[in-house]
Amino acid sequence: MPSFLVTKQMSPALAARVMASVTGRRAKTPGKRRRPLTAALRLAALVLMVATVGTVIHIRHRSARQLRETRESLLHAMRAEVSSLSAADRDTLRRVEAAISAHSAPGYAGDWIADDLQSESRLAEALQLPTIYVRGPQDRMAHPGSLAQIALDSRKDAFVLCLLDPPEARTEKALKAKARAATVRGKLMQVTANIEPLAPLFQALPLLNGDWERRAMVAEPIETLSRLRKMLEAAPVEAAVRAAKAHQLLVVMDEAGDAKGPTELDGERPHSMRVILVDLSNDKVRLRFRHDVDPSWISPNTRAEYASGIDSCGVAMDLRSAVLGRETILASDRQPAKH
Amino acid sequence: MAIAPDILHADATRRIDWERTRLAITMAFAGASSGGLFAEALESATVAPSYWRPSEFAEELFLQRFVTQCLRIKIGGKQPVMNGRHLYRLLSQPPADPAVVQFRREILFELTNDAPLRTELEKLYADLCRLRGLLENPGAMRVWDANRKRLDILHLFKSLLDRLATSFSHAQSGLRRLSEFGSEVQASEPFKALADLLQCDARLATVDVRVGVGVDGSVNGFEVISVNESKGNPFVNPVWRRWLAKFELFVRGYRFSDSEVLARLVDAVVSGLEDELISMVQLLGDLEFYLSALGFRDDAVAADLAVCLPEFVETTESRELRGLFNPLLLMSGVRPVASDVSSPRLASTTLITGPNSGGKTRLLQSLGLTQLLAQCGMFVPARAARIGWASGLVASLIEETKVDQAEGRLGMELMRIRTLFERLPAGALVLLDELCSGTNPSEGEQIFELVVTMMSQLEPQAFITTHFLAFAGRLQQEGKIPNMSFVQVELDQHRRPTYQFVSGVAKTSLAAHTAERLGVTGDQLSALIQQNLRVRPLSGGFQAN
Repeated sequence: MPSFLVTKQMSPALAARVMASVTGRRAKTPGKRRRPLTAALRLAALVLMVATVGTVIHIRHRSARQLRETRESLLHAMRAEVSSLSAADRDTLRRVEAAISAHSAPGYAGDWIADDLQSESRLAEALQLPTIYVRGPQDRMAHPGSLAQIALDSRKDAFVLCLLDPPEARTEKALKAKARAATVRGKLMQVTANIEPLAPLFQALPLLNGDWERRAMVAEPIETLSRLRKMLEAAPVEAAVRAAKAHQLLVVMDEAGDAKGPTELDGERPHSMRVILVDLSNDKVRLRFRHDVDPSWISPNTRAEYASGIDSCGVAMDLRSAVLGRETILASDRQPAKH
Repeated sequence: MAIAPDILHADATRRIDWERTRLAITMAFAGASSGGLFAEALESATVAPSYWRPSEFAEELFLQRFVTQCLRIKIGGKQPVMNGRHLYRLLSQPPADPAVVQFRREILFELTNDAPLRTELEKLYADLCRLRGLLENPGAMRVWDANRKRLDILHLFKSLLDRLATSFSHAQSGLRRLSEFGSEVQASEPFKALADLLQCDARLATVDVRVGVGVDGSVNGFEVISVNESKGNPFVNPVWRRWLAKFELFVRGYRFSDSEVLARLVDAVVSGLEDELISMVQLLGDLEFYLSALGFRDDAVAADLAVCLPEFVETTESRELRGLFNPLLLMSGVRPVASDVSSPRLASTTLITGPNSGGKTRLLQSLGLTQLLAQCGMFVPARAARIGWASGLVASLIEETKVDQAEGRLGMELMRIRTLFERLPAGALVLLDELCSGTNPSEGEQIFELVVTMMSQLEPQAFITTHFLAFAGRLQQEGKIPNMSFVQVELDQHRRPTYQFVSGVAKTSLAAHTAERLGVTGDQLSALIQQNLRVRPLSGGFQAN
């Protein structure tokens, strides 16, 4: 094996002598004789060290490659989701928050229905548009920080179902059927496919903006990237994209009502509901409607389980009637179902 | 490989034990103790073939004392430590080949007449002494940096080789070998490697710096402009290769250090020049021979005496020794009286007669040392000398009584004579002091005549002192023994010896004069007896002071 002490400039004779000195072949050199056992041990140690270093380098290289691939995969998946979002779509959540904040003030500005809604066909056409829906207490909606939690608690309910597909009669039985369908999320709810809850916007939209992408690009080790990927996979991205592309916002606000009255097991009680429909393309209100509800007319057996759904469905029917210029039915006029 | 620069013999040879010296030098480089490296190598060095037997003359001529006290080297007022045993062996065994003697004489002659050449030789010897000091580490001082020591040795070794190549190129004698040796080594690959290594040691890289100096003279800026490594040097490696080399050595069982890397390179260079380095050991001994001879000459000149390289003639020619002096007297601090000795034929027997303390024994010593030094190729203690080649030297000058001697004085003397004839080759120099003085004159004279008559058959160059004056006179008158001459101690007008020698046989040994000089007359002895009788009564025991 050549030696690093030998250089190209050395003559062959000198190189041979250097090799002899290094390998210990030069005889009669007391005290400088090479020690084979020591050399063997050191060689073994060197091989072990080189193998260890090589393994470490290989592992690090493989980890780096995995990290790079994972990151690219994650960014690719995210960009595929994001590619369909326009700048206006990314701004949807901000506009939703602004609209809710504007209409959640304690003082009610009065009912108002846009002219282009005041016909059966126009209303039906408007209600078929992609729409974000959220419902919550009016007083909490007034606080911007509470909206995310309200959105998570909100879901498509009997109000939405009855607004898009009203019962044929305003009887307890008919309303109850709608309320039950909304509760169990049966096939009847398919008519609300164009309605998207607000929650996915809060859950997934932050993952689709630039900050999250930059975070993914610098994230390491691979465990952090895996967590980011799980977050992305767990997030309702498709629902969020649909919500971001919604044309209008439908908000139902439950006012506090009379605290002295009875409260049903599902939380329903006498109170006022506000319904607001906002055109997200121009932030203009298309509909503002306020209506009182009182579950006391509902038969006791039904009221405990479906009071809220029945009231919500009733308000939706009343809203439709108000929009179409029909007479609304007050809570006191309603008749309990006959069992 | 260059031939060892042997400047003691006409045919260059390796005389020291090469392998043993190689081992000692290797150990010295490895940092082990190697005290006496040079001395051991030189003491066991072989010498040129010789017919002379030291046992037959060395003690009688006080050769050891002569070597120690008369053959000294002085360089710049300092007296380096010489290897006396090596020099003693050289002198006690003169070469049998006259060509070797002539080879040495030519070198000495050139050194005598070319002062700058002698100066260069002295410088070379001083460098060799330094090399000996570095290799032997005589003080057994701890070497803190083994590589530094090795490099110092190599620096000195290179300067030695350079000096050999350049300083003796104009020499006409055997000294030219030094130049040839140095030039041959300089042209070799190992020497180039040595030069490259030392150049690497002295200047691995050149760093250009710019130093800023403030108005108050303080240094306030230091900028390295460039670093240039000697890339053409075969020992210069890039930094990364130097690191890998250290790592490689570690794996091979060495230490992980720069010094180990350097040690391997030094070892590689030294291994290519081992023979040349060993040659320096032998060369040191050679130089001591010539420089000590020159030192002997210097001491003689300082005492207003003279030495010379003698003329060798056939033994049938006459002997001429002018201004002959005894160097043993010179070393004792006595200024010896130079004398002239001549005889019509070298192969002859010379009877020396004269008074006691007249210088006869000193003359025999001088003659013996002269013959010995001449046949070693050295200066002889004479202003001019014409001598013959002797096949050996047998001297019988000291006859001490020994505790365990088996015979009486005559018996011992007869044994000496028997031994003399057992060993005496033809044409040898024979020095006999007071032959047959241990018995009564009439019987002693018969043995004396027998010895001289028989010995003449071997045609020796014999010098015999005797107090058998009548006998010597008879031999002179009869002239029966061929090639016999007679010299006597010259006396002045007061019948005192002048320490010169003239032809003839002395009439008296002047024993009475000597006795008077030493206080052994009748009156002097009587006075001493009376004095003793006054101080020490015959009875009454010891007297207190």
